[in-house]
Amino acid sequence: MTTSLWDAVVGQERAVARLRACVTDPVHAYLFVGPPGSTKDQAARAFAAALLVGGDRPDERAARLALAGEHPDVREVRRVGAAIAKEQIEDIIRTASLAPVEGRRKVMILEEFHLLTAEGAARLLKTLEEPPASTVFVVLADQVDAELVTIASRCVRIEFQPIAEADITAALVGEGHEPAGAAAAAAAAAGNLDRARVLVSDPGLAARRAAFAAVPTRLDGSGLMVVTLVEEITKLADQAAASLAPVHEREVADLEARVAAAGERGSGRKSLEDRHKREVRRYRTDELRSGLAVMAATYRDALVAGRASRPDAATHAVRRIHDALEALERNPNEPLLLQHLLLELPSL
Amino acid sequence: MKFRCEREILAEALATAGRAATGRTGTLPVLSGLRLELSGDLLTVTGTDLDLTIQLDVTVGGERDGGVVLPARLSSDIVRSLPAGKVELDVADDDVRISGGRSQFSVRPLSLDDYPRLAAPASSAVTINAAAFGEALRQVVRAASTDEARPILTGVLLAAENDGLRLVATDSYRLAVRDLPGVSVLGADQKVLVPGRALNELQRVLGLGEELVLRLGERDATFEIGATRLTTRLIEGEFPNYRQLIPASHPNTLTVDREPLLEAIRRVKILARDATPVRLQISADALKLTAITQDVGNAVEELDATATGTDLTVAFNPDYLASGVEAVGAEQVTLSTIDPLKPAVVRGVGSDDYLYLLMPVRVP
Repeated sequence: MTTSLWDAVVGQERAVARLRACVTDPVHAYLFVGPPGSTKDQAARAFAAALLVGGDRPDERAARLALAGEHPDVREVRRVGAAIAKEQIEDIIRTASLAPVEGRRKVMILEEFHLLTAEGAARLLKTLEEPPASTVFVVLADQVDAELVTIASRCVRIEFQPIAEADITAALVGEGHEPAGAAAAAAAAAGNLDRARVLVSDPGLAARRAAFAAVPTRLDGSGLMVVTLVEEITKLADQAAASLAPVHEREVADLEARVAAAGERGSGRKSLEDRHKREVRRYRTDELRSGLAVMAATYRDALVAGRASRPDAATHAVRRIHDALEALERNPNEPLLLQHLLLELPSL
Repeated sequence: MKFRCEREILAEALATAGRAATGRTGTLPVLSGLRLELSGDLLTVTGTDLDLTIQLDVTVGGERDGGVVLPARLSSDIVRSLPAGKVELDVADDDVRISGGRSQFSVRPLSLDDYPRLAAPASSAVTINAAAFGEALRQVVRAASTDEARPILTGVLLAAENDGLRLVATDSYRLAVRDLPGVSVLGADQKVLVPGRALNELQRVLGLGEELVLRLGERDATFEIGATRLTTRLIEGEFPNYRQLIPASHPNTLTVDREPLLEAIRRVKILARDATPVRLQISADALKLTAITQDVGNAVEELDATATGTDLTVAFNPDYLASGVEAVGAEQVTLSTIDPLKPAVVRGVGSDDYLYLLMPVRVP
């Protein structure tokens, strides 16, 4: 079965080595920074398990429970609303102040803390600086924003990198996928293992990449073609997000089973639905992002191969696509953004 | 595990322990269950939400020792709905059969290995009169803070003091101290910090028995009333040094009947909106209470009282003042002051074991 606590952490040798070294004599707070899907969540659980067990012994009960997120002395705090709410901060402070249940140590894993508000950060700071002796904080964040800077300065920072394509491919093959499909998914996942896992079982992936790659040659300077292409792209993104459906259906089924056993009240249906909506939204954006990257690569390849009729225009196109990629961060109106972009792109 | 038991007894045990089990999201799935453990004829039922644990011992007709974790709500509903009389519970490999009369249910258990391994209660114990402890809690818990952002102040300090037990709570505006002489549960200088929330729950079950057994451990405190055990995790941290807040001596002391004073505060408070302070004008033989709210009106009430020291006017938050006067268990109360800005102390006449200190409000 599991041979090491750190098996689920992929392609993060440096981070894992540093964390292993911290296990014997941990400080009070760690900050794991890295992009989504860089397995920092898994690393947090593995670290918590190592702290509770005192070494790399994945078969002990405490380690097994911590890896499954079900150890009473490992509290995982997940966001409920759009940002980390005040009530959650209070709950964190209260839980941190209580004695551990089973052992001598407890670990608080605080997820998605790049979404912390300034008010929340101010409230939490004192506890995070000087928690009770038994508490170790593990703060997870995709990036360190202004709100998080003060908290970050109180933590030992562990960096997580986007996972290398080869590592993702190996991980997917290890999970029993075809090497060719795994490689294609890894290439499109941009270092995000979670996304690669969905892509690898998505038969439409190759077709979507081909469709994005064909956009520069199909552009003919007419507005009609731009509108048609944008419609097609939007449809492709919708189809891509549909591959999340099986996962979501399974989670809803689990929820229904819980409701049947324990009643509707406090079942968390609303928060599950909200999370699904957010995931679909994020997945669509990721899909667009990887599609635009494919488009940029098409222009770049044409430039390198000397096939571009107007090299300066192709260079400009690559730059424009990168601007659009950045703009995606700000949650824009997708069709408008795409129309604007395609109108400016030259045909190849 | 296999045993037989009267329906009423099992239903009651499941319901009581079930109060601590939780189906809240974000908590561990196994916490929605109750752990049943049978050893000989002794069945122990445990429910916990990690903060608070309720455990009961029940005598049953045991047949085979063992343990199981049952879904709390479901098993409680099943047992309650069975026909009156004997109920049998039999744990097989992957299901639990609950039967009574001609009804039979089969339930999937939760993982026994995943259930939190709660520490055994401390071995050293002390027995206290439940009513006396309940009264002490009533007097002290009120001063604990409800602001979760300051966790240490949400707790009640239990400390060894002069061969007795001392209970202390403060929310930084007021402080309540109660001594229970003759109760030595802690070693010298030992102290624990118990969450106020757990003590509120405890107050609810104190009526169940005459005697309370108190066990204080390193990480938790256990209160036993009859066959019911309530365990709470302790708060870790250093309680503020409350001693330095209590003035060594008070030059001015006012003595007044408790009931009339409470009534007066209650009436005057009507005009004291949004925590407007109530002023106390203290003179040698009278006490005058005043509340003034700008643009609304004012209220004045005079009471018979005796005072020593200098005449002075001091103002308090009416709720905090009433809470302290109400907590005192004597017919007459004293209010000791130094000046209008230093902490004042409320005590009962003839009862030295309780002290309620509160900060005055500065008024023009």
